[in-house]
Amino acid sequence: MIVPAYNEAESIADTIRSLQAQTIQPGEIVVVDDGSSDETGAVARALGVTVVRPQVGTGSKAGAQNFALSQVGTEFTMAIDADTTLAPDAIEKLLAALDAPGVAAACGFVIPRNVGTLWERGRYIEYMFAFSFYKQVQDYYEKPLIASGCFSMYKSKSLIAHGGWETRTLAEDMDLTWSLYEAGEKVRFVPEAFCYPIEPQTYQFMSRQLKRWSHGFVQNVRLHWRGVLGVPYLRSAVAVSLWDATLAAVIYLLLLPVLAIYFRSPWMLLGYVIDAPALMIPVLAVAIPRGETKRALASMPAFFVLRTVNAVFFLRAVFSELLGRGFYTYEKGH
Amino acid sequence: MTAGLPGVGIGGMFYVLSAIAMPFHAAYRVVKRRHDPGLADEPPVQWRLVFRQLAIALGIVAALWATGWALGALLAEHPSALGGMESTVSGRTAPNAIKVSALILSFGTMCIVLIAVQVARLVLNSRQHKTATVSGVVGALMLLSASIANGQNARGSSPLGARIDAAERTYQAGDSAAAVAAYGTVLALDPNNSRALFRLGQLWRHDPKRSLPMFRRYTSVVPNDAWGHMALGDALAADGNFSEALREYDEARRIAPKERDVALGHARVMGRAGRSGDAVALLQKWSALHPGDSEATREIDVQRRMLGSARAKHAPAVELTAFSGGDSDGNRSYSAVALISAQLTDYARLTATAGRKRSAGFLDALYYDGTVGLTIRPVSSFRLEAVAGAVRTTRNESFEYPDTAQVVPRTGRGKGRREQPAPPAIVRTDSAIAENLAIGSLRAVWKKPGTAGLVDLRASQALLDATPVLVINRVMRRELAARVDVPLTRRFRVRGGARAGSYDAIGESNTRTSLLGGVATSVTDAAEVAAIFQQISFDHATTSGYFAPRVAQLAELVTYTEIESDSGRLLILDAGAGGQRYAEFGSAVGQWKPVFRVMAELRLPIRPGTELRGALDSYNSQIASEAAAGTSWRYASASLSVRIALR
Repeated sequence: MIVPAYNEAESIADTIRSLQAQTIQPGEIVVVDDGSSDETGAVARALGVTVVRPQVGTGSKAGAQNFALSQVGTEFTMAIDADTTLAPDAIEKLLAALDAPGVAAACGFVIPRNVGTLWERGRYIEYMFAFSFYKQVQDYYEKPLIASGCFSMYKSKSLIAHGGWETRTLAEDMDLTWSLYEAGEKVRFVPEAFCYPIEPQTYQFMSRQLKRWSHGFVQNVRLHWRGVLGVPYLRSAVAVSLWDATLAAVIYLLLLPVLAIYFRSPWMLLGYVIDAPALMIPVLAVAIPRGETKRALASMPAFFVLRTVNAVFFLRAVFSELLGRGFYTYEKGH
Repeated sequence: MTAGLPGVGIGGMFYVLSAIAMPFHAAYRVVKRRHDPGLADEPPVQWRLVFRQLAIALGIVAALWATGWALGALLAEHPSALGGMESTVSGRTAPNAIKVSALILSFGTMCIVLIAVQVARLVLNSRQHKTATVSGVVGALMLLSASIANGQNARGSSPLGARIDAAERTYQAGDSAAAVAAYGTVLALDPNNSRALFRLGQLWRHDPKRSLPMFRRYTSVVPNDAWGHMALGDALAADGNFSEALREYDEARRIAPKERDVALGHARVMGRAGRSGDAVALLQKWSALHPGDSEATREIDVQRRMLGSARAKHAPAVELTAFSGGDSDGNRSYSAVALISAQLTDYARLTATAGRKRSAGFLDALYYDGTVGLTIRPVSSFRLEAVAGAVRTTRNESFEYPDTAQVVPRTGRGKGRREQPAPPAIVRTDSAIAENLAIGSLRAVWKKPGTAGLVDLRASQALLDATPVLVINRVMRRELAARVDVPLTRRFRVRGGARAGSYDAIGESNTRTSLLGGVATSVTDAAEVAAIFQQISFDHATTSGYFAPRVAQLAELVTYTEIESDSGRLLILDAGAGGQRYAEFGSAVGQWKPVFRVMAELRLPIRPGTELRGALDSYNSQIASEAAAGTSWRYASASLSVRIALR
């Protein structure tokens, strides 16, 4: 169990305790204290787990995970962010999925642990929608787009054969997932395995995360497009995602304001939320059984704010990468 | 992490359709498993997941429909909420606000994206297959010849050496295809063979995507070969990556500072990168050390001319244009346009235009337009142009307008060349007043340097002004256009294009779609011949003054040639000849009739940045590609302009 951590003294205790409370106990929990300036290492050590610290900070989550991977001797390797906790049976559920032949990785359902600020609420709806609908459809066709980096388990042999997590893009989880597909291996999404990360609470933190994700996606498309073309369903999913991140984002950001000005009707801006009832269907399909109906309804407006900001970040990333102004500085964010 | 924008664009539709397809896919899997024992180990279908996702997808569709219905009902009750669109819905039964046409457009877009992915996959597969097949066959032949040579040639004791010799002989004989296969075989046996890497880079010099990896590998295998870094630098420059190209030349000069080819090549790449000043300085330094080098002296002159042109090109400039045109219907157009432009940054240029225009014939329309435009060229292969402005139509006080709506006799002043009557045009005389109309365009052009690949996307809004009736009826064209040139070989390319737009006039709206396809070939670097087929169709007939056939087809052979003299004089010729036929609404498609057109433009440089331009344009056709005034039409125009760099 690899837990990369940089200045996570406040959250890492919860993560370790949730790992220690699993129905199937991990062989070893290794916290990689990647040059933290706070008490991350001490907190982890006090809870009885192995703590390793590179002499020089690796500068990225992938680098920290690779540092620990060299010491892994178990059949399975799990990576979990230091600000993420798990449902008690999460590991058990993922292990069951990895029993199937050809499956090299499995990932779970992500739900924000705290849902208070605008950004947390927006992310809550985004995850509920994406994990209850998109990801389950992708899994049916055996091509989940990403085995999320915050909580995924791998067969160690496959992971090591792929050289661990690459640092060539800012989305090492997507890079690894697509590399596994290109090598003919399978990835599974297990909707019953829940994890709860702490999502960005402020715009400053959220913007760093969105920048990393958007650049990471474009970098992976550039890196893998030839290989992805050979993977059925994934190629279509990536193409529509790329379209939505580029041209659809332009239309989304510009068309409605232009129409509103042209027809002198601010009602045109209702177009931004016209899909709200449709979005609520998959969100409520998860929220109602979890008893979170009110939270979901109250969080809906925040989603539209996040979606608009997300569109801006994707467009900036696409143009930056196309113009050769790539962004490769890893900034913390789950 | 997530990718894309959940709920927006075609992604949502893709997953809804994927979910709806799940039961059918699952049933297929079940049937397949029953009939194929080899699939017995496949995991069973998760029917619960299938029906759950299907239910969600159907719920999403139902929610979208209900939202559109509720909005439609709301807008029918409060039509003022729609502002400028009020008149189009008031008084009607409440429609669903989410239009079927919008859904069809989204579905069509998604299909195009998915088809493009499949085409890309097939192209990639066929290339790989072709390369593998050719390499395999030729490799086998090489192996065979090497085996035969084994007993005859001392070097034959090394199969690799024999193959390298054979590949080199093929290369020297000029058989590029066989040389590629032969060196490909060498490389398969010895992945770091420097000769093979360098030769393959040279053989693929017209395809930077293939040559660059070869030269990169070569420079990593032989890092101290200045020619390797030069070759890599040239390939990078051909790919438009000048910064990296110059770094490679820096390295080449570090390795071989006294090598003349390195110095001259470095200067040429500097010039192409827009650093002609540095190139001149470098060459002057070289010439001072090697005074007898005539090629360096010539290159200094070339770079100085480029420097002068670049400075003039980047300098603020004024351009004045006078235009006059007329057609066989008696319509005449006159305009005077002033343009001023200035460079904002290294890659952004601002332009502003102001024009006075008059369209005269049966009626008379006077109008003015002004625009502000920004052209951004962040890299040499990409250009973004944005123009926004306005047209101000005026009432021409010197002309007596009819008091009521008038039917215009389409034969104008009696030229009457057409063979069948054209539909009448009605002038909405109440519109002959001063009015401001917004115009603009957004265009993105991607053209890879050194290739014929081109993507040209454009959105525009413009006032049709070919005749005064069009101006007075305020016929505005709002259009999306796309053109793509896909290179098949170095000389041949496939051309495709599509345009879709609305023609909105006072009291009337129409839509026009146009599809274009053909093949083009470069006869020389400056001349192209293309065979093009184009089909245009309108939604319905019109009385607003433009010709709107049900369908019009044009098959045309076109040529485009640029002839440039050493002194910079440039002649551009664009001519076409072919056949054209059309069908009006309610009529069958007519006979093919000949169509001719020619455009010629001459640019005469007076001094750097200042030039005189003259252009002639002429058509002879049943209908024109844009908004013709009739069914048999001749048109000619001439323009004269002068561009003056201000420093």
